[in-house]
Amino acid sequence: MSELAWVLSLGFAGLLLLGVPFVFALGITSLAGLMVIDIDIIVLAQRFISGTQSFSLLAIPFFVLAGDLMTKGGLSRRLVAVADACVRHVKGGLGMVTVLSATFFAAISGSAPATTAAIGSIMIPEMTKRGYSPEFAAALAVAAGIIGPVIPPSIIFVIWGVIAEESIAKLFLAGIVPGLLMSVGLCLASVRYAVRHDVPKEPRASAAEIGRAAWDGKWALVAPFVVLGGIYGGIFTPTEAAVVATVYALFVGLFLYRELKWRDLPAIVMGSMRTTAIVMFIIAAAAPFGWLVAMEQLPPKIAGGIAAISDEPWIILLSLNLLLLAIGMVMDNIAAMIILGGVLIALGRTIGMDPIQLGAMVSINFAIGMATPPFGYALFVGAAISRLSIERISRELWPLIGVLIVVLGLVTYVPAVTLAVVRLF
Amino acid sequence: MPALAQGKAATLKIGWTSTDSAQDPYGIGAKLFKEKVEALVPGQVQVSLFPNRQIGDEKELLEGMRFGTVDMGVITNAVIANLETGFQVNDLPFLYADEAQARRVLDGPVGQELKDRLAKKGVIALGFMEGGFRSMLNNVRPVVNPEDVKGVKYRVMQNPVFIDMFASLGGNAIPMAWGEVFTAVQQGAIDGLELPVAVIDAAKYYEITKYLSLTNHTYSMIALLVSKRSFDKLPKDVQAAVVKAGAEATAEQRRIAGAQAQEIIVSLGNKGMKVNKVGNPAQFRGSVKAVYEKFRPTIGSALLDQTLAAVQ
Amino acid sequence: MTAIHGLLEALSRTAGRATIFLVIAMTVVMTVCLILQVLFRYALGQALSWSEELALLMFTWTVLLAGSLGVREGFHVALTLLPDRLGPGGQRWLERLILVLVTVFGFYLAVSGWEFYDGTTGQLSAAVGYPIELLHSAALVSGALVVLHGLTRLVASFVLPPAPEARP
Ligand code: NA
Ligand code: NA
Repeated sequence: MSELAWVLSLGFAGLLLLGVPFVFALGITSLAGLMVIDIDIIVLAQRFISGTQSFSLLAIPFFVLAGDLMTKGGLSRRLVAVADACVRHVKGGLGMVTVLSATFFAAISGSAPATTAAIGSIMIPEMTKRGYSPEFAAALAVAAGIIGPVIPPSIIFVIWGVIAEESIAKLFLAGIVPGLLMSVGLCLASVRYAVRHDVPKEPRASAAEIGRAAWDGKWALVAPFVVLGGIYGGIFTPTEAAVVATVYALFVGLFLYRELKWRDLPAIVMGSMRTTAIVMFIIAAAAPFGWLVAMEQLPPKIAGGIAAISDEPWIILLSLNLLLLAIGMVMDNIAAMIILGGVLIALGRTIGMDPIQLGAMVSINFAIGMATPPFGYALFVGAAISRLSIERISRELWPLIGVLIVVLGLVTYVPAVTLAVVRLF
Repeated sequence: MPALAQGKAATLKIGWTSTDSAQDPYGIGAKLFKEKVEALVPGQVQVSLFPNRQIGDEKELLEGMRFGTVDMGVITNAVIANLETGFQVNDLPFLYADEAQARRVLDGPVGQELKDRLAKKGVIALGFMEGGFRSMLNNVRPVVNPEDVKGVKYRVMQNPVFIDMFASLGGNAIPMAWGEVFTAVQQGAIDGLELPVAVIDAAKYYEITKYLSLTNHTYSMIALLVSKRSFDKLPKDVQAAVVKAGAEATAEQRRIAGAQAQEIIVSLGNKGMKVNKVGNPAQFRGSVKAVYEKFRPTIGSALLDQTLAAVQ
Repeated sequence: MTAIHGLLEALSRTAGRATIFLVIAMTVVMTVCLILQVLFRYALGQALSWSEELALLMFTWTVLLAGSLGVREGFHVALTLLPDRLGPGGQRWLERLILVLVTVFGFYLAVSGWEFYDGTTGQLSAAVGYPIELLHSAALVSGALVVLHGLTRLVASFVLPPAPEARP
């Protein structure tokens, strides 16, 4: 390994372990790397700026903001009410309400922690009240949050689209079936929990009650059609769709549900922009790091190393997924995706995988990383809402992560799971 | 230091943003340069290739050459024009009648003037290679006369010359990120776009677009550039080899790219596109005269007139 | 030391407030740009050539400004494996070490940002034609703010009693 490769790998790992935030660990390591190979540090500023100059990435703040406005504007609550009226009487019904409302919210929100926050803040207390353990309720909200970035729209797919220069609209389509499969799997897990712990059933809602919930929630229920209908009707690009969703959420919250107040808006906007800054500042700082990695021609070398594990593509894919899951446990998913992007693309070419399927596999893998202990944004949100430690949530969480990993396996080995929908369009 | 370990060979890192396929005009140029310079001074220089936007987009590569953080690049004219506005002259719509004329002008005093101006900004142009003429393709109707552009929605790069050109012709110019264009054409959000034929083929636009009109509206010059800072660090004999290899690579790249463009046009027809030539190129240039005048101040009056005289 | 902290904190607080104001204002501008872009295309059948580039200029600034605010507010995310295993005293010294690293990085980002700004003056952006300095000064400003906020927190860690606060 070259001197630079040592600085980049050990320096980065060391700083992370020390507790330096991801963004500064990337930045400091890049700086050291530039000094080691004696290249002008001007690259740092150049890449910080160019890393943010992407129209596709501009979707991120707006998908965050749209999700926040929908939660604060009462849309999330109404989605939960609709799901509640429909399925609460089934065994494990309340768990299914959590999963199904997260699935629906996923079609509006692009982020896992936002989905866990929107649904978990309502459903964790409710489930706890009605016979589920708080640990399971929190774990389910965390796992269901992962559906958020798998079903379109999705921040993580947007970032992969930018890294791999693939169509974001196509990547979005590839996430639909895996997202629905996760939803089905987590519903079954809720039923299994309810049967094992003999959680009492809830009374069935009358048709009139269902009708009322649906009518009250109509503006929330059509929101996904505004976003996805706009993209696939050929009306807007994903970035424009994100902005339209924001304006739609604002309109509904202010004028139809009237739960948003003008004076609340600055705080909501600033909250969303803080979330955006966490993600985007990491993207900016990863840009010089990625440049150094490319300059050393490391991606093809590492990809070649991984490809040499076996002649069988399925073994390579298995090893790759296990490696990415391990990385996703302790790493920020965005930073990991940017650093490893070149390697993954090179490897995909080597084994001849469809680039859209590869993108879906990588993105879903890192999405799952947002739930896996010890480091995961959805997990942090679930812990904060439930006031439980990560260790206590983890025991109930691992089987649910198992469900998500089964879906990842299908995505990896059955191309139709991702590509059938892509080919329909 | 790694350089010493390898026995004093100077290294030159060359970047470009498209693929390293055998058909890619940028890649052809970079690889020819590598082959020639390494043969001219064996063991004294090693060129490493960075395709696929690996070390930055074109703006970054060009900036990098000024700062000395990137050694070399094959860069599209429009991007160079952002740094040295004289290069806008090459992007003027319907300026060059054919490849031969463009090559003659770029190898003559106009090209020398552009080289001199760019050198003042710290970047040396070794040669003006060829990305091929850009043509229009769409799903509404073939473009034979300027009127045929009217009312049709074309995706353009976010570049004022292209936007103004389509506006002058009465078309509907829609700037859009490259990654979304294919889907947008497929779904009918836009009617068409404009590209060099090599890109139409590589990106498989023949699958979703009906008409290819050889409007040849923009000659896409791609320049083989070297950072002045990197160049000055090289030993004298390697410098001479770099200049010589640049000129030779340019000549050969043009020959290959030109021949390939003709083959691709034939093959696009075989793949089902309806290919046509325009009626009267002069008529098109007449329709966009306003664009020429708009860019006169930034190009520089003398250079514009010199170029116009050269293409008469 | 206390006087220095007072001055730094006043500067850092003012910069933080200005950042929040600017970020919100620029978010509004981005929203308006992109909504106009869609409206013009569909309602008026006319493409805007400036909207995308202007929105992207705002975007870079919001990210680099709000990113620096993360140092003041401590919202950037880090692993807590080591800090969790230390006592309060150890945590305090570790936090100081991290703040030193962050501040030094901010300094180099500012230096690099100055070089980048200085080395590219006089160009215009491709579509809008704004002076490129408007974009290229973002890293300089962001780096300087990281230094200001980082230094303020560093000095505060010696002056103020320990607070159960997030890391930088
Ligand atoms: Na989603
Ligand atoms: Na994780």
